[in-house]
Amino acid sequence: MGNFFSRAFFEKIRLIALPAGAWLLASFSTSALCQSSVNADNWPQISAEARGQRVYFHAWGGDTALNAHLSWVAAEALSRFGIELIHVKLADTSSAVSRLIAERDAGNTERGSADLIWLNGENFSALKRANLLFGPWAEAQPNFHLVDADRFPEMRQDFGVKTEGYESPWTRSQLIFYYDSERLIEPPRTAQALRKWLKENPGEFTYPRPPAFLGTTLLKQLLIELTAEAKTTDIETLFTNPPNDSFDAVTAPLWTFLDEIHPYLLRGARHFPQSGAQLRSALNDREISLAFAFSPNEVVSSISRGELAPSTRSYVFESGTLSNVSFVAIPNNAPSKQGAMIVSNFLLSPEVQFKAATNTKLASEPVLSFENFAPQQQAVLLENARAPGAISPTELARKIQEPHPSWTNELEREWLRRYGGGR
Amino acid sequence: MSWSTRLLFLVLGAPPLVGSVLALAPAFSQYNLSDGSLNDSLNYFAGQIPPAFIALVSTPGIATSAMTSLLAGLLTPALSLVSVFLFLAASQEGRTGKMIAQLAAPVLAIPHAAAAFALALLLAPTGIASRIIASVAGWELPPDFLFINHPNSVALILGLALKEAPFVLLVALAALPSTDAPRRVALARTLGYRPTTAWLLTVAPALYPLIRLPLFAVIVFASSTVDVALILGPSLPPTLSVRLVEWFVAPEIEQRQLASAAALLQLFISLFALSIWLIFERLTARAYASIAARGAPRAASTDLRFEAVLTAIGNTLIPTSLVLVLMGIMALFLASVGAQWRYPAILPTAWSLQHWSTALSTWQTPLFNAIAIALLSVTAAIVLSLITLEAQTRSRANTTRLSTFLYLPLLIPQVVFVSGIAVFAERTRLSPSLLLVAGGHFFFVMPYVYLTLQSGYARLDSRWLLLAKTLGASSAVCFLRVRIPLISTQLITAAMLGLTISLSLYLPTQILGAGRVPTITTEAIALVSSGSRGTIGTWALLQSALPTLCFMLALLAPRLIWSNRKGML
Repeated sequence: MGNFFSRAFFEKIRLIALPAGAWLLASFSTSALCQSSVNADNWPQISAEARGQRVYFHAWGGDTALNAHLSWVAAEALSRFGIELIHVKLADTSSAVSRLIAERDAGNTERGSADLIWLNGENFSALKRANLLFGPWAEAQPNFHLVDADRFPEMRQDFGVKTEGYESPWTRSQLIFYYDSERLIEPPRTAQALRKWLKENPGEFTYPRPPAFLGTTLLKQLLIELTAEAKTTDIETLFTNPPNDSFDAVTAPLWTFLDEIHPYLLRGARHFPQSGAQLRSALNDREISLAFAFSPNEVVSSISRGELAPSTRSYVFESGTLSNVSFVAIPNNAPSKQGAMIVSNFLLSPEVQFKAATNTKLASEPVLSFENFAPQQQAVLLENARAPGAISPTELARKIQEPHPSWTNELEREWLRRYGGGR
Repeated sequence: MSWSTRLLFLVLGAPPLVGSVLALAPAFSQYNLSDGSLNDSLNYFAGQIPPAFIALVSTPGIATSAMTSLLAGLLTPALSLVSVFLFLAASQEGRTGKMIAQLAAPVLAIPHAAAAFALALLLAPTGIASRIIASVAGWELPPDFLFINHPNSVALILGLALKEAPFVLLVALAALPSTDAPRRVALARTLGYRPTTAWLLTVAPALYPLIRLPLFAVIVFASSTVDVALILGPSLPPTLSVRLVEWFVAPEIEQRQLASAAALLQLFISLFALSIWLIFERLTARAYASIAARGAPRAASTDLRFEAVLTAIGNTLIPTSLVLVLMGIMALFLASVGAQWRYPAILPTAWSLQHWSTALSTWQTPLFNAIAIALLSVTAAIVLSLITLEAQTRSRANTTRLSTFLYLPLLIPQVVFVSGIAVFAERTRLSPSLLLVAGGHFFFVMPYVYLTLQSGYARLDSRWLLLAKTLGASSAVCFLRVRIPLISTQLITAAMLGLTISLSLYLPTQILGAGRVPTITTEAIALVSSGSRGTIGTWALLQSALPTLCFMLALLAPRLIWSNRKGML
């Protein structure tokens, strides 16, 4: 023990502590981000510091229309704010999350590879739990009030997890079903109707293989609908709690349902598509006659690209469909936090939201409340909702919120355990 | 070991080994996996076996995944080797044979992923083949059959062989001159053997040892490929390599450990495939010896039929595969300019250039990065190869043992050691950059560059240099004015081969560049998830264009350089 408190020991402490202290002092004194929270008052200073920064925006890059939109945003960010925005196109958002974890493990606390990440659900929950996100900052953005979060609580809730200012909404989505009206007259509007219809029309439906995002979304949709129908479990437990010992009992109706429909899926469920896009081309080639997407305007934009026939129509289920909001977050080790915040605030502006919503190839659903758009913009948005294949706002209002994010993992794991190994 | 051998080992051998160790280490962590699905019968071992391995073993379908990888690793090289040998045997000295062999070179340049897409576009239920049948048979709806992605992985092996057979063919053609094939065949012919049989009995055994190592690389590649398996392989369950990458990018820390354990299994499967291959080598050699020892050819009539069958197979397999790839490229092109192409239309019903215009508006940076990375890695590889080769010839060191670890980066599955290098780079605070990616590419480029240049060194008659020295030239002058001009063909071939390989590398670019260094290949694979036929077609063609151009140059350049010389080609 005597050696333990020797002079050499204190020498070591001093060697480590001094530079660390100096670094802490230095970082406290200069930046607008010296406190861990950001407030609206220091926004001018943030935008001044953001000028000249380079912002790496990690976002899924599988949609050319979205990629084109983001490259427009990048050009505007450069000319208006002097920020160099670089879209890092990910094949899968979870790779950005694993990268952040790897960076933390390697002790990289200030020169992370991502400044802004498109997130939601399990990825957000994983990063927030691991304390890898910077914030709170989202509600300090000047444009945040435009989403009217008091009226639309989903702007502060990501799959049932409170965002608490650690991420900012930028687009929203909802599960919709679509079909070719020339092949199918009356599509099924409930889970039970789907089962009945599929047995009469074998091979005309399939879903992307979980953990592909769209496939898991269908599992959740079916789970909520079947749970509500069975009335054996309180439906609220799905939304507020992580799955527990009752997981097997709660999900039993889902697996029975899947076991029953699998023989009737395309290719007899021996192979599943990898993505919603493959589902779309299967519908276009008449391999299947009913498909689904997680974007209310998917059909309109696909018709405009020639990827779906003009006779395609979309709808939501009778009791509603899953809907959620997409967010952007800033990692703790992001070097250009100020620039990232300015970009996020710009994404929330009526101008960008309107442009994304009216771009026929993209047609993203805005997060701003309708009345916060200018009157002319409102008129255009209303007109667009009447395009062939578009879905009416009243129908879209039938929204179901996402279950607690940990259900996603558990459902995927159980699906893979049951079906992932093949027969 | 001379200093040059040591240098080569340090540069080529150490990083893959260190990378592998780093990638595999997490598997042995005792951190408990929060996986409730542990198999009860295995719980007995808990505490003795790292939890990641228990989790791996209890993953549903893991045995099937491993088996699929093993099968792909064995059948792909077997199919390629058999078709190449039969082709060479059937087409010896023929004009058509030479033409077809020249067609094989550009096919080699097409990236694996693009070729896999092309095959899927041809043979899927909504593919061109099915559309042609539909137009004859009057089908309105596509048939519901499973071939691409079938659990029996026939499509995967076929897709891999389509790309590997041209590789094996070119390697075999390069080695063929040193076997003195015509005289061997002539000798066998005087003993009464028919030409194809004669080639197979006399030339094949002499040729095989020369292409053995490249075949080993094919085994490892086929058993661990990710992109081809994603496109053509089974999905329930996918191959081991695909699952490994899925786990490696998953957000949960347990999945990382699982990925490491899977990487170890992957290494084992690749080595297992190699050892099975080695056993087969022995058995085949023995069978060959006994057939050859039996001597007298069979009765003329049966021999003729046997010969005819062999020749027919030899004349069809390789040409069919090349035609398939070329048709696939056509299909990619049609997809890229088609605005509407619903089943059962054989050709698109509406045309547009929108896919090309969107692609062209974003391709400058990826293209620049791809070219810069390729040039950097290839230049480094050429310089290092020349230094070591020069040192070896001057010290007259024995270089045969060298080639074994030259192949190390090709014999360790990419997924295993690249992820380890990424961890290493992260630890040493090397931030992902173009330079880091180029460094990663170097390992994959180097073996091919070195081997090509080595053949140039070996082929060059050393008396030329002796002659130059007797005329008073210094070593430097000898090198610059005699050696370099005389091996310029190999130098260009090496550069173009290296560029081709670098341009089509996906995994090292993506993992080492952390997505910040987009190249044409990473963009193409990122758009795979969008699945739109038009986008995929466009990017697959863009991705193929540059390597093909390099290859064409490699074929043309020597002809241009030596247009006024005889006997240099």
